[in-house]
Amino acid sequence: MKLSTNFVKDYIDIDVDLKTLAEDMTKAGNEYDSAEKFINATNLVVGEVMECEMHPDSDHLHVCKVNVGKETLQIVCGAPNVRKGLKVIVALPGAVLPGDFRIKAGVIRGIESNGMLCSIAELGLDSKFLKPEDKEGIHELPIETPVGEDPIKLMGMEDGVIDFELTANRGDLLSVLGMAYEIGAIYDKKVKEVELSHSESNENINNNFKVEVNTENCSIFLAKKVENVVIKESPEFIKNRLMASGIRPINNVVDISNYVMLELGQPLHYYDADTLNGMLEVRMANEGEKLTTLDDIERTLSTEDIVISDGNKAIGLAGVMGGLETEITENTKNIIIESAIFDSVKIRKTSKEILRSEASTRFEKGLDANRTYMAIERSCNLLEKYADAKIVGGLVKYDTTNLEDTKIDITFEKINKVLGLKIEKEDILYVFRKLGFTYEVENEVVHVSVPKRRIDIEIAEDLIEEVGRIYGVDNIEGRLPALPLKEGSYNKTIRNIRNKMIDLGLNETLSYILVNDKEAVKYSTDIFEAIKLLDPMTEERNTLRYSMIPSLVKIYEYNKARNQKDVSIFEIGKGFYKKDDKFGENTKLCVLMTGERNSGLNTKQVDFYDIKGITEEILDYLGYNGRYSFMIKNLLPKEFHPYQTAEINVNNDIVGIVGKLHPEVQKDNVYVLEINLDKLLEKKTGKMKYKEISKFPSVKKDLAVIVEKDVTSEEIAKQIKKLAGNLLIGSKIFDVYTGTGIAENKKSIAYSLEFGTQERTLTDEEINTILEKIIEGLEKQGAEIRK
Amino acid sequence: MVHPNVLKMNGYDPEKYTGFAFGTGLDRLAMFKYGITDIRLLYQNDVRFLNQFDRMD
Repeated sequence: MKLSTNFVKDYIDIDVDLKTLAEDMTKAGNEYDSAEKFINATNLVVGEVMECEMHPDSDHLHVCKVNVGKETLQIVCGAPNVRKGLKVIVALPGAVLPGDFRIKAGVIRGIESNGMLCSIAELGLDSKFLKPEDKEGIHELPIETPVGEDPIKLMGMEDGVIDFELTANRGDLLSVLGMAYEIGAIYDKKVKEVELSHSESNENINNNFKVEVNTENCSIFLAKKVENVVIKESPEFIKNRLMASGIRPINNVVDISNYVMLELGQPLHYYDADTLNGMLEVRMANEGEKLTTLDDIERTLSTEDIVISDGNKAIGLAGVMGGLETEITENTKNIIIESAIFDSVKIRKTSKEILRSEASTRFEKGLDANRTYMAIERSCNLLEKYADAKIVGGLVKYDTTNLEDTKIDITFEKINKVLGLKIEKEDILYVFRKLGFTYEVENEVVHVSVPKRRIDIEIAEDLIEEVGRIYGVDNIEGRLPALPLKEGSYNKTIRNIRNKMIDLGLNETLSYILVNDKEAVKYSTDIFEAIKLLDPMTEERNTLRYSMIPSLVKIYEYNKARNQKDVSIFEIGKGFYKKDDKFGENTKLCVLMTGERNSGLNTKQVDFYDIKGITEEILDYLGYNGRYSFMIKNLLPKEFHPYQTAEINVNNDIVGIVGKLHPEVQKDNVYVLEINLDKLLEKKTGKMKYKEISKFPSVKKDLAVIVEKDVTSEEIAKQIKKLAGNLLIGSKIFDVYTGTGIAENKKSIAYSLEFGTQERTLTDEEINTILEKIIEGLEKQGAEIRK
Repeated sequence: MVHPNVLKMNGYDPEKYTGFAFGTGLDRLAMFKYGITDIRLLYQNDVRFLNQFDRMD
């Protein structure tokens, strides 16, 4: 809710600056998002163009002499409508326009320019409020505007706007009058009366107009008729207040209906009376009934939608949007005003399907029927004043509401007990008085009468909350909890894995558990059903994630868009699924690596061996050394690279996947890893046990093997081990190479092999024999040894 | 304040128990501690943000 402070000052006398008001409201529980001047520009002054010549060095710039009161300034202006005699808005040197646009004296194509002539757009007015001429040229002030004055003040645009983010229960604050009561409660000020008076003709609308309500979803329906309206532009104050509140002015009649809604919180609908047949009916729509709404869209309705009918067919979607056929046009003369309350749940359902409007938002929160009466009278008051309307006497009325105050009994003791405070009786009563609630005290009991404008207050606890917030949260003394605090617990293994990943140089991320349903099923061949939310807040987050890989990929894209291309991240979290009608969840470790990575003093591009290395590090760390292998996956998720992806196998069971993303999915080299930690940590680990260190030195030999690209290093390592026998005590890959010197479809993998035995030092001869055996064996299987 | 109906639905006697609901998650505490000005930064995972928290504290 955007609150114009000019507007609210009609109803309450306050003399506080904008920020203070916003802060004080926040302390009372009504948070604000922003508090700014409506036109946020400084150093503006009304000027008169005394002379206007073409710029000698340009075909569209003009050199103007502008009288700004105290002096005459030379200003270069590019607007097509600048001319001699015009009254204009001048931004003087030193002015700051919205968007931190600073105006300085300068030289434009060799001609000195001391300021700028402004358009309305340059003053920061939202583009939806701009007329076509506002977009093309500078603003032309009326010719009688006095030179040297503040143009914003003269245009009535000197206003402050606070944008509140209200809680769902405070529907009463969706009105200027409600805001006035709230501000009044904070500063102990009286709210002024709303001006409702108007004259009425001797006719009675009830003689030739009727209303029938044929549904329980409308609790009150009032109608009045006004005649001979003159449709024209609204007065400045109405237009400015609407714009400050975020509503586009249209014409006086439409603007007044919006103005009253903003002022009193009661949405109204105006019908062109001459398009009706002397009646309005409120009923539920028929299944499949058609209605063309104001926005010229044909809607198909259901029996859940409340409609207004002219007796034959639907002409309006109650509380949400009017119909096209009966709308106010430039030719409208006579108007039927509707002021009504419709069922909040039904309106919510309809508006969710069709359109959420300023009106429907207010109906959804619930309204005070006293305002329904007030709003129709206020409409007449303003239409008489600003649209020359003649008001027909009488009121068509259907009313089943209860306008009485809500009576709540409460004790002082209960208030203090619940709040944990010791507020004096008199201070509690003072809060009620400030809120405008009346009361009677009977011993320890207070009988409180709450006006219907606060429909949110229903029970004693609601009153206690009022006391707490108006007494002031800041007045509550800070105290540590009286309960003993227990230390929380955490999963030590998971914490160790997390620290290990950080040690390996990866950043930990935290992403949302809710994702989009299309992403949720990506990067996996598992058979499961994603768990969708029944009523998601947004379609972007409508499903519980199964894996964090989709989120990590999104995080990569987010960073890449900000020119951060070196991303090595991991996340440990839960993935959720439904399988065979049962819900389940797993703790998973997901990793994404791409771009450059530091390795010692050097940086290098991340490749498959980096992420495979990370996988090995974490598996070794957890005690699975010698118990895991990487296997080519037969059935690959389509988002993975067909030749650079492997299943992670621990104790002959698959616990995860590691690989490169398919170039068609991700054109950068992005590598990912996923391990199901629940599954992994169930697996038996090897015992940590001391193994005798050989007294004899071992010998290292390097061997580079050239093989087809689709042969895995794992397969070769296995072969080497088999061929070498038990004198080989270790083997490690230290280089993988493709490119110059190696055939197109081949790659070179270099191994560092370590030979040794507990019994003696191996001789060169022995080692060479083994090496030859390895080479011979590998060559037999098609490998080539790189010399 | 927690609505008495919520307490009732969860098996607590609202005459005996009361509750307060506050928006003070761990993320808000982290904001205080490290001077983080926008809560969304914690979930955007910008590496320029993450890189600032790679030390003991």
